[in-house]
Amino acid sequence: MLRYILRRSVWSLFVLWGVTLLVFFAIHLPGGGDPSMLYLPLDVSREQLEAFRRAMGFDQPVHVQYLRWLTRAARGDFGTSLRYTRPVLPLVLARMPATLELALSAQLFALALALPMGVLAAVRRNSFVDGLAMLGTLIGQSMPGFWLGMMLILVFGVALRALPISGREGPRHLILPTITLGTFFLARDTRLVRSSVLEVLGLGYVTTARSKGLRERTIIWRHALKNALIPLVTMVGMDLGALLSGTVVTETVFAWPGVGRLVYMAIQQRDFPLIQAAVFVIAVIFVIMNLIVDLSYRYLDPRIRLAES
Amino acid sequence: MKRNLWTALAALVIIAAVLPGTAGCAMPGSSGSPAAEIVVLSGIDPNTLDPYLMTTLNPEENIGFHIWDQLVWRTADRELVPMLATSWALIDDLTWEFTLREDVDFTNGEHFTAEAVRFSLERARDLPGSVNSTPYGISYAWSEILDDYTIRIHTERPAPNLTRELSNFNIVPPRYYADTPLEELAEHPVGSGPYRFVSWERDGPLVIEANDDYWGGAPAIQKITMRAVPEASARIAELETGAVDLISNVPPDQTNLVQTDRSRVEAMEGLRRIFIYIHLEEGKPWADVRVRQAMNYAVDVNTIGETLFAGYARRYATFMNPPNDNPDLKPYPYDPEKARALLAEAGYPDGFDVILNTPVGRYNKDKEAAEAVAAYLREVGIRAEVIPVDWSTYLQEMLVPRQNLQLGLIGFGTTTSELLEAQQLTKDYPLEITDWYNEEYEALYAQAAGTLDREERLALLYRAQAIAYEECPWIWLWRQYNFYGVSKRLQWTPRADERIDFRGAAIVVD
Repeated sequence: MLRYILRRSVWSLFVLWGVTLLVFFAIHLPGGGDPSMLYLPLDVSREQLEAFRRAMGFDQPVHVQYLRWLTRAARGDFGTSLRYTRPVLPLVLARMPATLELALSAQLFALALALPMGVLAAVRRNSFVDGLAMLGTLIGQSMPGFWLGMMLILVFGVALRALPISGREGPRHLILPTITLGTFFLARDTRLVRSSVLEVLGLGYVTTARSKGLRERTIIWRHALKNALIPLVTMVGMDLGALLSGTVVTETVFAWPGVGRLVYMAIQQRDFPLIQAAVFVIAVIFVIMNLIVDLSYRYLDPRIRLAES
Repeated sequence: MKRNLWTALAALVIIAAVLPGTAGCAMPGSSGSPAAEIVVLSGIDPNTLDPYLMTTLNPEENIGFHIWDQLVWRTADRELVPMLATSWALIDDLTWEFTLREDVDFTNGEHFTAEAVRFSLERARDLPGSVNSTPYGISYAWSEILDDYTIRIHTERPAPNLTRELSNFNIVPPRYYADTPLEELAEHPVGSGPYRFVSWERDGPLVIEANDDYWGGAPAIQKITMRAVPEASARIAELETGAVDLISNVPPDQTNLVQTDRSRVEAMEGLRRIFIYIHLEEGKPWADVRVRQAMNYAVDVNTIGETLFAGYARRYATFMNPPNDNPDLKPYPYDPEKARALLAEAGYPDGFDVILNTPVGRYNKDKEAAEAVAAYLREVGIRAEVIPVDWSTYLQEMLVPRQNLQLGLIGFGTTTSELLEAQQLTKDYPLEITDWYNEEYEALYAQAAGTLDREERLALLYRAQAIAYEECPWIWLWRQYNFYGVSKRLQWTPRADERIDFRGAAIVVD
C-alpha cells in the first residue's frame, strides 16, 4: 500500500511538471510573449517600456523565461501579478476557499439528488417516473451554465426577488451559484447511478439475496448500492476537475469571489504569473483528488485489492 | 414494505428539490438602503486604494475623488475652480504659486498645510511602481513653501496646464502616509474629502461614509457601498431587483432593460474619440491626401450612428474635445460622389484593396461599426476587408510595433487636457499609429505646449485642428457614449469625463 502511494506520488509530480510546461508554452508561444503594453499607460515613453520589459524578463527567449519561472516556483516563489503587483500565490490561495466552497456545494447538491433519483429511476425502470427522470437529465446536461445562471437570476432574483444574485455575503448567496454549477453534474450522476444500479440488480448475488428472503430495502441499500457506487466514486473524482473549471463561468455570472473569476480576468489581461500559479494550484488539487479516488477505489472494490496482492 | 420505501424515497426527492427554493422566501424587499445610502456596482474590483498606485478610473479613482481633495476641482464642464487652493498665479515660466485654504483638516486630524502638498507631490514622484502617478506632463522640480498656506511649485519645463493636471492629483496627509506601511496604505486610505473610508473586503464590498466635518459641507448621501459584478447582464438584473442604485457600462443594446419604472438610463457623450487610423506608407494609395479625404466622404457616419447606436453616435468634426474644438470646422458630410471624384483624381478610378483591422469587444460594437464602414468604402470602390483581432494581439502585435497596419478601428480615451489631445497626432506620442507627420502641425503643437496664455494657446490649436481636418490622418467617426443605469430614488447626473461623482447627488424622497 505504501509503495503504491509512493509510486503514485512520483507520477503525480511528473504530471504537475507537464502541466506547467503546457500552460507556460501555450500562453507564451502564440505571439503573445510580451504583455507589457497592457500594463503601461498608452502614452508611456520608449525608455519606460524597455525598462519594464527588462524588469519583467519579457526580453528573454521563452525557454529562458520558463526556466527562471521553474527555479523560482520550486522555492515557492511564483512571481508577482502583473495586474495586482503583488505576489501571486497568496492571491490565488486567498480565493481558493470561496471556489472550494462553491465546488463542494455543487457536488453535494448533485449527489444528494442524484442518488435517490437514480435509484428510483433504476428500480422503476421504464416507468413514467423513469422516463421523466431521463428527460430531466437530458435537459440538465444540455443547458449551458451561463444561460442557466442568467435564467435563475431572472426568475429568482428579478421576478420573485427571493434570492440574492451576486457576491458571497451569506449562505443564501450560495444557492443560485450551486444550482447553476451543480445541475450538469446532477444530471450526469443521476444517469450513472441509474445504470450502475440496474447493472448490479441484474447480477447473480442479488437474485441469491432475494431468494434468501432478504428485504428489498436491505438488498438495495446494503448490497447493491455499495457496488453500484464504484463507478460513481471515479466519476466524482473526475468531476472535481470539471467543477473547478466550471466555476469560471459561474463565478463570473454571480460575481462569486473565487479562483475561477480570477483566472478568467487574468487570461483576458495576459497576467502570466497569475495564470500559471492558478492553474498549478488547481492541478495540485486535481492530482491529490485523483490519488484519493484511487485509494478509496481499492477499498470499495475487493477485486482490485485482491488482484494487487 | 416496498411501498414505504418508495414513499420515503419520493419524499426525499421532493424535499431535496424544493428546499433550496424555500430557503429564500424571507428575502427583504428592496435594497437595504434606508435613508440616504446607496449601492453602486462596477465591472471590476479595485486593486489598491493607494492614490498613487491606482490604474483604473472606475472604480479606483472614482472612489478616490470622494476620499481625497485636489488643489483644483474640475467641473463637469471641464472648467477649473478653486478647491484646496483658493487662488493661483503664474510667477514665471517655470513657477506657479498657489494660495491654500486654511480651514481644512484630514479625517485623521492632521491639518492641511503647504507641507501636505509638497509631501504629496514628492511621494507620487518617488513611490516605486507608480508608473502614471505624477501628473502627466508635469516635469516637477521642487516645491518652495513660503508659509503654511502658500506654496510655489517649480517645474523643469514650462507647464501651462499645471492646474489642469493637478485637478487629477489627490492630496494626502503627510504624517499618516509617511508613517504607515505600504500594504496598509493600500487598504486604509485617509484624505480630506467629503467621504471617509470605512471598510473594504477584497473581492467584496467597499464602504465609504459621509464626512460630516467636511469643509465644503457634509454631502447629502450618507453612505456609499461599492461592489464589483463583472457580468453586465447580472449588473442590470441587480438594478432591476432594486438592490442597487447605480450601474455603469450598460451595453447600448440593453439600455431598454434599464428604462423601467424603477430605474432610468443616463446617457452621456464621453470624451473617447472612436476613429479609423490610416497608416501612412509610401506607395500605398492612401499616402495621397485626396484618397484619405475620399475615405471620409465615403462613409455615412451618422446613419451608422442611427442604426447601430440608436442615435447615440454622431460624427465629430475634429479630434479635439469640447470646449476646445475649432467651431469653424464642420463634420465631413456623406458624399460618395465627391469620394469617387477624389479617388479618380488621385489616380484610382477603379479603387484599390485595403485591410481594415478591428478589435472585438473593446469598444461598443467595434466589429459591427468596422463592418459598416467597410461596406461604405466598398460602395466607392475601396475594397476593404475587415479582419477582427482580439485586443491584446491588436495592441501588442500591431499597434505597438507598427506592423501590418493599414486601416484600423480604435478609440483614444478621456484626456485631461487639450494639449494631450493635440499631442496624440504628433511624433512625440508613442501610440501615434498613423505615422502622419506634418511640419506645420508639429510646430503649432510645440508652440502651444509652451504658451501659457489660454486664448493664445487655443488660437494655435484651432489652426492645428484645421490642418488635421484637411489632412485626414483618421477617418473621423464619433465620440463614444457612456450609459449608466440609475434607480429612480437617486438624483445623479453623469460626466463626460466618466468620473462618477456623488458630491451633488441626493436621494429623492417621495
